[in-house]
Amino acid sequence: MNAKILSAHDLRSGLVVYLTSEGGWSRKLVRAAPATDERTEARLLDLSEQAIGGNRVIEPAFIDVDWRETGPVPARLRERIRADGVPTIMPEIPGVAAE
Amino acid sequence: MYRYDSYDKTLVLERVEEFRDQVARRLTGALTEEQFRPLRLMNGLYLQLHAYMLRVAIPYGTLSSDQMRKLAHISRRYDKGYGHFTTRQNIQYNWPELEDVPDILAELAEVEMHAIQTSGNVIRNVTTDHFAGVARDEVADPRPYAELIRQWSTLHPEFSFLPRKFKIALTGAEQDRAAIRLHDIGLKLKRREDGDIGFEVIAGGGMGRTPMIGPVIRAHLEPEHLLSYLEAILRVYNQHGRRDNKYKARIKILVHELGTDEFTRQVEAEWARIKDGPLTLPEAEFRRIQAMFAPPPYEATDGSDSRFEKSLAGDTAFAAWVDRNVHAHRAPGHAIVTISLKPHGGIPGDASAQQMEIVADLAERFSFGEIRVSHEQNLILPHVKKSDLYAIWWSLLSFGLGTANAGLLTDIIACPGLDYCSLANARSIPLAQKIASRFDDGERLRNIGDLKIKISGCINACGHHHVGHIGILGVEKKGEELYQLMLGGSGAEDASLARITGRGFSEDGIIDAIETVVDTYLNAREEGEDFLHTYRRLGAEPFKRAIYSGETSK
Repeated sequence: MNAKILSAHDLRSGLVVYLTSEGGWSRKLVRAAPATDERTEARLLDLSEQAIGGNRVIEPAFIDVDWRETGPVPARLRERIRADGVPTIMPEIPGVAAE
Repeated sequence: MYRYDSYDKTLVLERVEEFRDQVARRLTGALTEEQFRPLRLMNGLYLQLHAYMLRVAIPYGTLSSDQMRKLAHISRRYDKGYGHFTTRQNIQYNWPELEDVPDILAELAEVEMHAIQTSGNVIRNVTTDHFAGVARDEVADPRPYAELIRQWSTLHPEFSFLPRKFKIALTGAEQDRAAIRLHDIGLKLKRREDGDIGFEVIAGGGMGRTPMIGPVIRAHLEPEHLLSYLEAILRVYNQHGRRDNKYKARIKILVHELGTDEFTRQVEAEWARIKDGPLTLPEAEFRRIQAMFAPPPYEATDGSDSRFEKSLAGDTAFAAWVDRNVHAHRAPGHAIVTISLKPHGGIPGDASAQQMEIVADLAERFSFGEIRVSHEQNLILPHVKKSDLYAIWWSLLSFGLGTANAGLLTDIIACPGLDYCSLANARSIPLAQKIASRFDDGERLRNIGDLKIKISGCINACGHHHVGHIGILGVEKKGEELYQLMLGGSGAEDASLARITGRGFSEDGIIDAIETVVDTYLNAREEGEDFLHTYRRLGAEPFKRAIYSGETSK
C-alpha cells in the first residue's frame, strides 16, 4: 500500500524523527503514522505545525513509503538511509542508530 | 604559522558570544527556524541527512599540533570520535548537538580557529598548495598572501551577500597541487623574465553543474596590488553576477557570458579606480605576516643520511611508502610526508580522534609542530628530517595511517555522498571502498602508477569528478543509484575536464568498468607513460570500446 509519513529533524540533536499517530515524534520509522488520504495528511501536517510551534522539530516533510506487513519502507534510497539513522558505511555509531 | 593579533581574537570571540545568544534564543523559541537558519549557516552549522554538521575552517590547510589536538578533543567530547577532512582543506563534524555548538566554537577560538564563512554566499576558506613553503618547485611561499586574503575577506561588508559562494586558491609552485584553474579565482606566483615575482590571475573556473577551466585574465600582477585586484574582480561579480538563477550565479557563468576580454576590461576599469588606494599592501605589515611563515630552524645537513638509506635498502615496505608518500623538500636532509587518510576499506578523509592525536604528536616531535591538510583529503607533515622517516612510518602503521598509496589509484577523493549529505543522489564512500578492495594489491597499484579517481554523489561535484583522471558521478535513476564514468580530467597545471564515456553503471558495474579502463591502459601504455598521458594520446575510443563491448584493446 502506498502511503505518506511525516519526517522531520529533532531541533536539539538534529536527528531524524517521524510523527506518530499519537502526535509524538519517534526515531523509529516503524512507529510513523501513515497517511493514505488527504484528510489524514492534513491532520499530520497540523500536528507537525504544532510541534514546530512547540519548538520540538524542524524541516518537516512528507515522504512516500510502501506500507507492508512489516511496516513502512521508504520509496527512495535517500529516505531508507535516513531511516537507518546512520551512514550505510558506519552502522555501529553509538547513540544515533534508529533501532 | 600565523598567530592571531588582538583584532582577530576579538572578532572571533565576539562572534562566539553572538552565536551563543542566538542559539539560546532559538532553543527558547524566541527565534523561529526560518529566522535562525541563516544565522547558523553563517557559523558553519548545516542540517544534513542524519543530523547537524559543523564545518570548521582550516585556513589554507595549515594546522599546529595544538590545533589538531583540539580538533580531536572536540570530536571526542561533542561528536562521535572522528572528523572528516574535506576538499576545501576544512574539517567537518557530523553529529554535533545544537546546544553544544557555542561551546565547540569557544573551544576552537582558544586555538585561533572558527567556522565563519564555511557556508553561504561569501568568500570561503582560501586554499593553497599543501606543500607551500617547502616545495622544491616553488617560486615564492603563497601562505602570507593566503593569510592576507583571509584577513581581507573575513566579514568583508561589501561581499557578505554575493550572488553565490566564492572560492579562491593559490599556489607558488610550477606543479599545481591546488587546482587553481578550477576555482572562482586562482592565483599563481610566477617569476617573470626580468626576475620580478607576480601573480598570474585566473578567474571564472569551477566545477559543479557547469564545469569550466578558468581563463587567465592577467599574466602578471604585482603582489602589492593583490587585494585591490581581487576587490575589483569581486565588485564586477557582485554587481553583474546573476541572482535570478542559482545555477547560473557563479562567476564562471558571468565570465563565460561576457567573454574573457569584456570581463577583464570591466575588472581592469574598476581596478584603475581603486588601485594605489588603501588596499595597497603596506610593506611593513606584509613583512610582519611573512615573518610568521619563515622556515623553521632546520638542522644543517649535507643531505646524505646513511641511517635513512640503510632503512630504505633493508625494508621494501618502507621503501614503497617512501616512494609514494615522501616528497622532495627544499631543505637538504629533509622531506615532506603525506599521511594517507585512504586506508583500503576506510572512509576517504576520515580520521579518528586517536589518529588526529597521533598526527599531532608526530608533528610536534618531528615536524616543528606543523601539519597541513591537502585538498586530496590527506594530511601532511611538512618538515621532517630524513633520518626520522623510519620511526614516523612505524608509528603511522600502528594507527592505520601508513598506507603507501599517495597519488595511486586508491588515493581516492570522495565526497560524503548519500551516506551523509542531504543534496546527494548516490553514495560515494562505499564505491571508494569497493574500488580499494578490488585493487588491494600494492604491487599492482605501483605498476598502474599515478592515477587519480574522484567520486561525487551529485552534480555539485564536491568530489571533483570533473577533474579525475577517472571521474565518477553518482545519480539516481528510477530510485536506484547509477554511476556515470568519466575519463581524462585533470585539476593540475595541465587542467582538463573529464568526458563521459556513455551509459551509466550499477555499483558493481562501475567497478568492473574501472578495471577494464585500467587494463586497457596497461595494455596500451608506452614506456614510462602514466594513465592520463595514455588516454590523451589514444583518445576515448579504445577505452569506450573496451568498456561497452567487453574487449580490451592491445
